Amino acid sequence: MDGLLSVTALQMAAEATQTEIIGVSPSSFPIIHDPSRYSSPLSCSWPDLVLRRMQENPFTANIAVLNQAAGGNCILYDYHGPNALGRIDRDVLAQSGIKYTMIFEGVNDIGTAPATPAAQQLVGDRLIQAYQQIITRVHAFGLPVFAATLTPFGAPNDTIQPYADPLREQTRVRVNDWMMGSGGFDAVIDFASVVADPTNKTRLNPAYDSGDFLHPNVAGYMAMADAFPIELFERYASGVNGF
Amino acid sequence: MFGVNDLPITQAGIGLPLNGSAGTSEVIPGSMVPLTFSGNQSIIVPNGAQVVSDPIYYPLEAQSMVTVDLYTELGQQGFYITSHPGSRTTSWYSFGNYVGAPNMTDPSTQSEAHW
Repeated sequence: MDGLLSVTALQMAAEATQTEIIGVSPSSFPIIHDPSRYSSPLSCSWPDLVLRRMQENPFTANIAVLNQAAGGNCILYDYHGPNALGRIDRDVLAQSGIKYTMIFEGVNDIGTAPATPAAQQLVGDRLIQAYQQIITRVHAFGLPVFAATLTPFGAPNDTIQPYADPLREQTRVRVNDWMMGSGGFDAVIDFASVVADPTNKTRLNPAYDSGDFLHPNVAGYMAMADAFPIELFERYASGVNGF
Repeated sequence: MFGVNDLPITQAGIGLPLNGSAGTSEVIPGSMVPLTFSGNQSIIVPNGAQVVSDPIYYPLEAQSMVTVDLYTELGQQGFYITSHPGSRTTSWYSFGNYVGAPNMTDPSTQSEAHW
């Protein structure tokens, strides 16, 4: 039994006049292999790195980040933990003081669906529909929904990275194009471009690759955190229209 | 994942880990304070349910780590327990009540580090 048992969250009052919480909701990437983890009180996952930037900015200094990431999680079915569509109620909407939400997830749905045209068409259709469902449900509470594009997982072969396959790459690009082009999300942070190899967009930049062609390393997470537009918090301070 | 049986929490507390480290079994001596649940020291959490402890005054610096101690005298039946398997931190467990203890030193003490 790994990890955190029986405890789901710690709630705190902030010193500001208002308590604001961003739910960085289901995500498959804030995972790092940092050997200094146990000697350092600070984690180097990308939401923690964004939080550090937020702490230095007067407008965002009193916004807490609630990282609901679950490693290996999927949006459409229970894989490592419950599916993310089913987690929206408990892990996002049921949290107190939520002002902003974000989703960065879908890569495990694509990567575990068979690399066949029919299966990849279906998982792409269902992911896009699930994003729309999430947007509608979160908007109904007057909250903005941000998203991040799915980062590349191409590799020299599918032994070193089992997700690597041209058909899965097509689905990743299709989903990202929908995110960027549909206007459904209130903002889309293009993490895929941030960490992609400039000479081969189907792969992680070697400088940002943890070694498995899927998970970024600390430098990659730092690049993602630096690319996060923290002005979004001020822009969406009043929430969104619910419909 | 979630437990499928009652979780009887006998006693709980919150404190500060030694050196502010994540995943350590040691806490800063004197930092551990008791938690109550709607005024009671114990509570039985039904399967799938979530409970909250009562508010306490416990100032914390932003981005700091905390340690939560839980003691279940009767234990939880079955093989399913609410957990976050990919949490990238370490939990420690042992027979006996170690709520408020500076460290867990019983020979039965076990941990599960993720890497």
